[in-house]
Amino acid sequence: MRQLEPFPRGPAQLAHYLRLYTVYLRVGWLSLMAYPVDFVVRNLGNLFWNLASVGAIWVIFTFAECIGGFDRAQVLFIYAMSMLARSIWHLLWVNMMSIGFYVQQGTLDRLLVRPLDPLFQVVAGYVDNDDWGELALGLVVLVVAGRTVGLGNDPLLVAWTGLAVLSGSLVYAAIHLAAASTAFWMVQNSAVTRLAWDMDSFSRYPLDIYPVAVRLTLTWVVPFGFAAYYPSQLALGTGTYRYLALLTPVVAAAAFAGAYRFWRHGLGRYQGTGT
Amino acid sequence: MTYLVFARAAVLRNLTYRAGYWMSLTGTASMVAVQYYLWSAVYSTAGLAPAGMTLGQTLTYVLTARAASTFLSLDAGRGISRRVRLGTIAAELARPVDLQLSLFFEGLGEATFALLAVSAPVFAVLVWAGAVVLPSPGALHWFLLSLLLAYLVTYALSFAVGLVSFWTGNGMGLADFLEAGVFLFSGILVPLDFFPGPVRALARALPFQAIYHLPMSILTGRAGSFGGALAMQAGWAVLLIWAGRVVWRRARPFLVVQGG
Repeated sequence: MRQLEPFPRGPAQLAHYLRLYTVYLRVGWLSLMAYPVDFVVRNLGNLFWNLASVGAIWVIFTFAECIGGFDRAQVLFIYAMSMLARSIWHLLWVNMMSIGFYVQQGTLDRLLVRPLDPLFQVVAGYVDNDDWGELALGLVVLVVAGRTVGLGNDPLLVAWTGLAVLSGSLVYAAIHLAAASTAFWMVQNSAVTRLAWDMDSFSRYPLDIYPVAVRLTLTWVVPFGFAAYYPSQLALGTGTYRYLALLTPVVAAAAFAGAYRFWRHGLGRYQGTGT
Repeated sequence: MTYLVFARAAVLRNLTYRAGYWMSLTGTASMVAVQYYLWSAVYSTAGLAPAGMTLGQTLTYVLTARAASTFLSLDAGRGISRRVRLGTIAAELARPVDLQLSLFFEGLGEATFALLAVSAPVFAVLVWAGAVVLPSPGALHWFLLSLLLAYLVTYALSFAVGLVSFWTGNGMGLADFLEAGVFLFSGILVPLDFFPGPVRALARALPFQAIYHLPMSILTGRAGSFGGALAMQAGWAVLLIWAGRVVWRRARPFLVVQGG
C-alpha cells in the first residue's frame, strides 16, 4: 500500500499551505466571475430564499408567543447562528460532498499523485457560488437579534458567539466529511450525503421541539445540536443546557478529528476504479 | 403520442437509479418531520387558532405541501440552462421534435415517478399517523385535479424562466430566484392566510399561490368555492404556458452555443 502523506505539521508547511490556499481561492473566485450576471442574480435569489425563511419565523411570532420555550429574538438568534455556521462551511468547504464523485469517476487518483493533502485539494478546489446571501443575512440577523437580547454589552459573550459560529462550521464539516467518506465502502453513497444535507434543517430550531430520541441523536450521534442550539444557550443566558454549551469547541474539534480519521481510513483502502 | 417516449424514458431512468430514489425519500421525510415538530410546538399554547386555522388544518396544509413538493419540482428550467451551458442544446434543436413539448413530457415522467414513489407513500403515512386529515371523498377528487393544475403552473413557470439562459448563457441564477419566489409566496413555508394583510394581498396576485396554497386550501376545506380556486389555477396555467411559447419564439435567435 502507498504511504499517505501526513497533514502539514510545523509552521513552514503551514505557511506553504496558506499561500497555496490563497492561490486556490483566487482561481475559485475567477471561475465564479466567468458568469458575473448569473453570480449576482443567483446570490440575490439565495438572499431572498433565506429572507423567506427568516420571514416565516417572523410571521409565526405574529401569533405565537414562543417556540420550544424561546421567544422571537432568541429563536432568530439560534437561526442566525446556524445560518452563519452553515454558510461558512458551505462557501469554503462544500466540495467535500463531492468525494463520492471523485471516487466513482477515478479522479481521486489525480489528487493522490500531487504532493498535497488530498482533502485540502478537494476542499480548496472549489469556492461555492450561491450561498453568499445566507452569510450576509445570517450576520445581519445575528447582530440585530443579539442586540435585542442584550448581548452587545458583554464583549466576552460576543467573542464566545464568534468562537461558537466557527465551531459550528466545524461541526457541519465533520458531519459532511464523515457522510461523504462512506464513498470508500459504498459505490453509490449519495443517499448518505443527501441525508446529512437534509438533516441540517433540524439544527435551525431549538431542539426542545423534538422528542427525546431525536434530541439525543442530534446531540451524540449526528451532533447538529452543537452547530447552533447548545452554544447559543450560553450567549442567550437561558435554556437548561448551558453547561453543555461550553463543550461546543471541544465537541467540534473531536467530531472533526474523528471524521478526518474516518476519511484517512477510507483513503487507505482506496484502490482506484481502474479508469 | 410519440412524446410519451420521453416520459417513459424518464420513469425508466428513475427506476434504474435506485440511490436517487432513497435520496429523495429521505429528503422529503426529514423536511416533513421538521415541519411537523415545528408547527406542533407553535401550537403548544392552548387555544391558538391563527386566521381560524386549527393545528389539524395547519399540519394537513403544511405537511401535504412538503410531501407534494418532491413532484412539484422546478427542474424543467434547470434542464434548459444545463443544456445551454453545456452546448447540447444545439443537438436538441436539430431534432424534429418540439422542445417545449419534449421537455414537458420528460418532466411529466419525472413527476409521475416522484408522485407515486415518494409523495404518495409519505402522504399515506401521514394520513395513517393521523397528522393529515382527509376531507370528504368529493373534495379529495377536486384536490387531485388541483394538484394536476399546480403541476402545469410549476412546469410553465420554470420553462419560461429557463429560457432566459438563452440571453444570459447560464440561467441557474434566475432559477434560484424563481425558487425563492415560490418559497416565499406559494404557501409551502407558511400558510398564506397567516401573512399580514398587504403581503397576503400580494401573494394572491402572484401565480405562486396556484402551486401550493390553492390545492391545500381545497384539501383543508378553506377554499371557499372549489370552482373559483380551480379556475384561478387553470387561468395561470394557460397564461404561463402561452408566455413560455412567446418567450421561446423570441429566445431562439439569441442562443449562443457554448463549447462542448
